[in-house]
Amino acid sequence: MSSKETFRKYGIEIYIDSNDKVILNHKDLKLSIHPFFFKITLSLQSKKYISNSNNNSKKYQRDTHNLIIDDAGIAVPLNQSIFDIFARSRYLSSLEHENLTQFIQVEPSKKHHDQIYIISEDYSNSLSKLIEKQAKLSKFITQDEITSISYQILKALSFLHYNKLTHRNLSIENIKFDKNNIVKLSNYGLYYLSNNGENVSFPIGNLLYLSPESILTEHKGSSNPKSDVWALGCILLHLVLGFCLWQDNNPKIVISRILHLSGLETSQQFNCDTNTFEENLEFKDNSNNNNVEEGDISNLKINQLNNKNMIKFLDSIGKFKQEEISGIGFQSLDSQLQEFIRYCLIPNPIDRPDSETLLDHPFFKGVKDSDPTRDQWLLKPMGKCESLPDDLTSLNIQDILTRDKIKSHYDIFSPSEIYYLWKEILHGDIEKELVLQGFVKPSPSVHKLPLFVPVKRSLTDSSTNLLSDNNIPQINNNNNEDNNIDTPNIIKSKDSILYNNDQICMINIDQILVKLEKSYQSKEQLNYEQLNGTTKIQMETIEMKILLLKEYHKLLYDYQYGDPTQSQPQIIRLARYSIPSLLRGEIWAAILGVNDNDAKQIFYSINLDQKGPNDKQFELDIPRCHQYHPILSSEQGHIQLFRVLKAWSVYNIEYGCYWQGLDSVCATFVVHHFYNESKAFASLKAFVDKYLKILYVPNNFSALSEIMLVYKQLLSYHDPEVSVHLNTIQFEPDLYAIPWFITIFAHILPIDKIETLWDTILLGPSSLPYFIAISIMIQFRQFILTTNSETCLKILPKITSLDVDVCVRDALDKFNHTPLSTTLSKSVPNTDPELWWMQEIPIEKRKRELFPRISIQDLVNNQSNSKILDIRSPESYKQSHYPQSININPKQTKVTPILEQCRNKPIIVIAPSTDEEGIEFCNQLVQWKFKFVSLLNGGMDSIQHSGFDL
Amino acid sequence: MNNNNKIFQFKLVLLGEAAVGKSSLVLRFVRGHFLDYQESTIGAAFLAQTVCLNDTTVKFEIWDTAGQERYHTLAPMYYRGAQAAIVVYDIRSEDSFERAIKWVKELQRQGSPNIVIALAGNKLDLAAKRRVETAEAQQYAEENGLLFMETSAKTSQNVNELFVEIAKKLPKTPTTRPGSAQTQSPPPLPTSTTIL
Repeated sequence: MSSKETFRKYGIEIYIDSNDKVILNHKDLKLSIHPFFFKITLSLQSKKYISNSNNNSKKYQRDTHNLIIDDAGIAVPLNQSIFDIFARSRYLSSLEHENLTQFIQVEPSKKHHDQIYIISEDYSNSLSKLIEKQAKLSKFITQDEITSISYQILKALSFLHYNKLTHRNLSIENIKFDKNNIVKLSNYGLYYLSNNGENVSFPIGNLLYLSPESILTEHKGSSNPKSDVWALGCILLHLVLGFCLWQDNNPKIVISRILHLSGLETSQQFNCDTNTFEENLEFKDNSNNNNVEEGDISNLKINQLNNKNMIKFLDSIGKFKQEEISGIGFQSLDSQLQEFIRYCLIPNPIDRPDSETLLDHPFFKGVKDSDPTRDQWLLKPMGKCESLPDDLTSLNIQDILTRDKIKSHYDIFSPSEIYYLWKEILHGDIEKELVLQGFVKPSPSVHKLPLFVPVKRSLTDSSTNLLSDNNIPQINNNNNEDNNIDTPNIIKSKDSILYNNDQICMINIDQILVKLEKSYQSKEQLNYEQLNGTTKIQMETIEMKILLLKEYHKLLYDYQYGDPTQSQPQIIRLARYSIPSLLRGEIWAAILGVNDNDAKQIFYSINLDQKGPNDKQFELDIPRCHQYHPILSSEQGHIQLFRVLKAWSVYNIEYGCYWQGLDSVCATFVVHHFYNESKAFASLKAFVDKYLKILYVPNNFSALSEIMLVYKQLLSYHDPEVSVHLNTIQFEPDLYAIPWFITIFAHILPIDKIETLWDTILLGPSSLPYFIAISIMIQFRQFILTTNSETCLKILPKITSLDVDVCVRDALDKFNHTPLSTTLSKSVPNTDPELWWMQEIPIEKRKRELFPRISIQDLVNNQSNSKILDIRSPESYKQSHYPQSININPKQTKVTPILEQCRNKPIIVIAPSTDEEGIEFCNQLVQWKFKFVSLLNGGMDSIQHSGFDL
Repeated sequence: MNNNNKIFQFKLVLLGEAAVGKSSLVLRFVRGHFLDYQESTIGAAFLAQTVCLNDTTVKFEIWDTAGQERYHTLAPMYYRGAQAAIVVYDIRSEDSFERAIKWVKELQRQGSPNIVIALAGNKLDLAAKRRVETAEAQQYAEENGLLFMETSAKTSQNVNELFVEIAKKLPKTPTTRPGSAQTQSPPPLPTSTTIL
C-alpha cells in the first residue's frame, strides 16, 4: 500500500493514502483483563469501619463508595492495600511508551473483595508463540531479529527504570508483538502495583528469569531495576539456544542452578564437558535448616555473587553442536552481541550495567541510528507525571519542562478511551466477559471460598499464606501438588505465578474500532448546532461519543500547543453539552485557563522543602479529607495533596491564607490531576481566584457575611415560603451554609457529586453557587417546611443525598430568571452625595431586607415581563413616573386583588428616597410569599439620573 | 423512668484545637459511632442528645465548633449563651493543652457568668504516646473549678460519664429554661448581628 502519511500509536496505525482515504489498521489491538488477588490485611486501619460500642456489635457504614459486597451479601470494606493499588494504578496509567502495552486501569471485583482486575492494552502474539511457531517450521530466530527485539526491550526497560519502575516480571510470555512486530512489554505494572510484591501473597516474576539478587532478597520490598537486565540476558540466551538450560520441573533445582551460575556453592553444578547441570555431590548442608534451598539464605550476601561460574558456563555453551539446540547458537552470534549478553548476565548486580548504559553499547549503534523515534523515546521519556513514586524531589525541573514538548500528535484514541467506550457506552462487563470466555466458571458461593494453602516454611515471611481460588485459572497448582505443601513459597511459586500464562482474557473491541474507522473515513465533525437539539440519550451513542472525543482531542491539543484564546471558548462551548469523565481534569484546566508550562514554571519554583506556617494544620486535615476515596486515602494521595496545598499557601503567603475547607477543594483537583501536581496546583489557584479569592484571606468575615446575606435575599426571591419559614425559626444561613460557600460544596459532597456539580459551576458565572445553594434548599423544601430548626440543623449541613443533576438544572434555570445586579456587591466606592444610592449601604441595614436590590439597568432589561410597583405618594407619581409602573399605597394590610395579579411575576418596587417604606413594603410582600420581589436601588433618583425621559 | 419528670434544656459548646476529637466526642455521645477519619468541621455543627438523671432529663443542644485557629473569631457566636462548655485537648499534644487553657480563660472572661466548663483530655486510647500528664491537667482543672476527665471517643471510655457529670452540675432551677420535648422553644441560636 502506498501511503501518503502514516501515524502510529498504541498498535493502531492510520494510513492516509494518496486519495486522502483514511485506513485504520488495528486488527491486533486488544484489551486484556488480568484478575489477581491481593493480600488481605484487614486491620484497624481500614477506613470507614464503625464499631458500635453500645451493643458491642460491629457494623459497617452503609456507603457504597467504600464497600464491596461479597458473595454472601456481606458488605466488606475495601482495605488499605486496595486503596494503595488504586493510587498506584494512576501512576502506571500516566506512563506512555511505544514499547509498553498501555496500562489502562484497575477495577475492583464485584464478587471477591480481595480481587481486582487489571485492564491493559494487549496483543495475542508473544515471544513465546514466536519461538513455538519458528520451532514448528524448524527455523531459528535470526540475529537481526534478536538485535531488534533486545533493542526495543531495552528502550522500554530504560523508560521504566527512568520512571522508577522495575518490571520484575519479564518473560517470553510478557514480550508481545503488535501487527507490525513492534515489541510491547506487558504486565510490567504488577510489581509496582503490589508495592514491590508486598501486597500480594504470591511471588512476582518468572522463576527461570529471576535474578540471583531477587532470589536472595525476595519479599524485602527492594526494587532493583538491574534484575530486569538479568532477565533480558536470560531471555536472549533462551532465544539463542531455543530453550532455557537451567529449566527443571523442580523449582528448588532451578534456584540452585541459578545460584550456582552466580558463583555460589549449591547442590547443583554445571558440567562443562556434557553441557548439562548435575548434582553437586560434594555440597553439604551446613546445618539441617541452613542450606540454600530450604530457607535460611540470609547469610548469603549479595556481595558473594561473582562471575566465575558464569564465564565458564557461557564459554562452554558455545560448544553446543547445532543439532543439540534449536536456536542460532551462542557461538554464531556477532561478538558484540555475545559481549552484550555477558554484560546482562553478570551475577553481581553492582557490576551489572543498567539499562541506560546498555543502550549505549556499540552493538546497538546501527539500529539506534536508524530509529526515527530515538530522541523521543530514548533520551526523553514522555511520562506525563512530574512527581515520581519513590523520591518526589529529585527531579530536574528543566527536564520536566522540556520532555512534554515533543509530542507528535494525531488523533488516535488511546486504549483508555477505547475501554471507556466499551464500558460506558457498550456497557461492557468484565466479570461477564471472564465467564463468557470460560475463565471463570459460575459456581455456587460455597465453592468460591478461598482455599488457604498452609505454608510450612517461608523464606522470609512466616505469615505468608498462598491464597488461591479454584475459579481463577491462572493459579494452577497442577503438577506439583505434593511438593507445594512442603516447599517454601518462593520455590512452589513457579506454578502459582499469575502472569506467565498465554491464556489471557481479551476484550473484543473490534466493534469500537470499526466505528472509529468509519468516523475517520467519513471525516464527520461534531456539529455544534445539532448538539442543541440533542437529548442526553442521543449523546450516549458510540458514534456521538467518538465525535465528541475527537473534537475534544483537537481542541485540547490546540489549547496546549496552539492558540489557547481560540480554543478555550470552543472548549467551554462544548463542555456545556458533555464532559467525558476521562478528560475531565484536562477540560477543567482549559476552562480555568491553566497553561501547562506556566503552571510548571510556577510550581517548581516554589520551595516546598522549607517549613511552612500551615504544615501542622495540613497534617491534621489531610488524613481526614475525603478518606473514602481510594486516591485521597492512599499514601501518595496524602503526599500530593500536602504538596499542592503547601504550594498554594506558600505562593499566596502575602494575601491569601489557608482555611480548613480548602483541603477539600484542593483534593478535588488532586484526584483529577493525580501525579500531575503542577496542574492540580494551577487549577486550584485559578479556581480559588475565580470563586473564593475573597474568602481565603486572613479576615474573611465581611466577605462571608456579604455572601450569606446575598444568598438569603436570593432565597427569598425564589422561594419566599422557605425563606420566611427559616426566618421564623431563626435559622440563619451562617448556621449551615458556611461550608457550602467556603468550599463551593466540596466539603459536603462526595467526589463524584462534586464532579457533576463543578462541571456546571466552572462553566457558569461566579454567582452560580448562590443558585446551587437555593436549589439545594428547594430540593429539601418539604422537609425544611415541616420541621423545626433543630432537625434542620442536623440535616442541612450534610446533604449527601442531593440529586445533583436536578440541582444543577434547577440552579441554571434560577440563574436565568434572576436580574444580574442582585448578586453584585453593593459596595461600589462612590462618595458623590448626588448619587446617594451608589454608596455602600451598611450591612446592618441590609440585613433587615429579605429581598435583593436591583439596578436601574436591570429594571430596564426586565420591564416587559415585570410588574413595577411605585409606592410613592400619588402626587409624586403624577409628577413623573416610570412607564407602565403602577402606583400603589404601601400601607396594605392584606393582599389586594391588584397585588394578587402580580403574583409569580417579577415585582420591582420603586420607593421614595428614604428607602424605609420600600424595605417595609418589600418585606411584607415576601412575608405574603410573593416570589421575585426586588427593590430598585436608588428609586426615582436613579431613574432620573440615568436620563430617562419620563 | 418516670415520664412526668422535668426536662431541662441546655446549650453546650465544644472548643479546642483542630483534630483533638471534638466532633468524635459528640458523635460518640450522640450516635455511638466512631470514625477513624472524622472530617474536619467547618463553621460549626449542631447535634442534640438527652441525658437521664435520677429525677430529671437533661437535653443538650450541642454546638461543635471548628478547631482551626482561623475560625476562632466565629467562636463567640457559638459560645454566647452557652450554659456548658467542653474544652477538649489531645493528651498527646502539649500545644493542644495550652490552647485548651486559653479557651478556658476566654470562656471565664467572655462566656455566660455561671457557665459549667469541663476539661477533656481526649484520645486516652493512645495513652502510650501521652505528653500531658493527668496530674497536671487535674490540678489545673481543680484550681479553676472545672470538671475534668480523660476520655476516648474511640473506645467510648468516659464519654457518657463526661456528659452526665456536666448534666449533674448544671443548675436545674426554673430560670434555666425548663421545657418539654413536645413544645420546645427554638434553641438559643446565636444572634448573628455583630460578626455575621
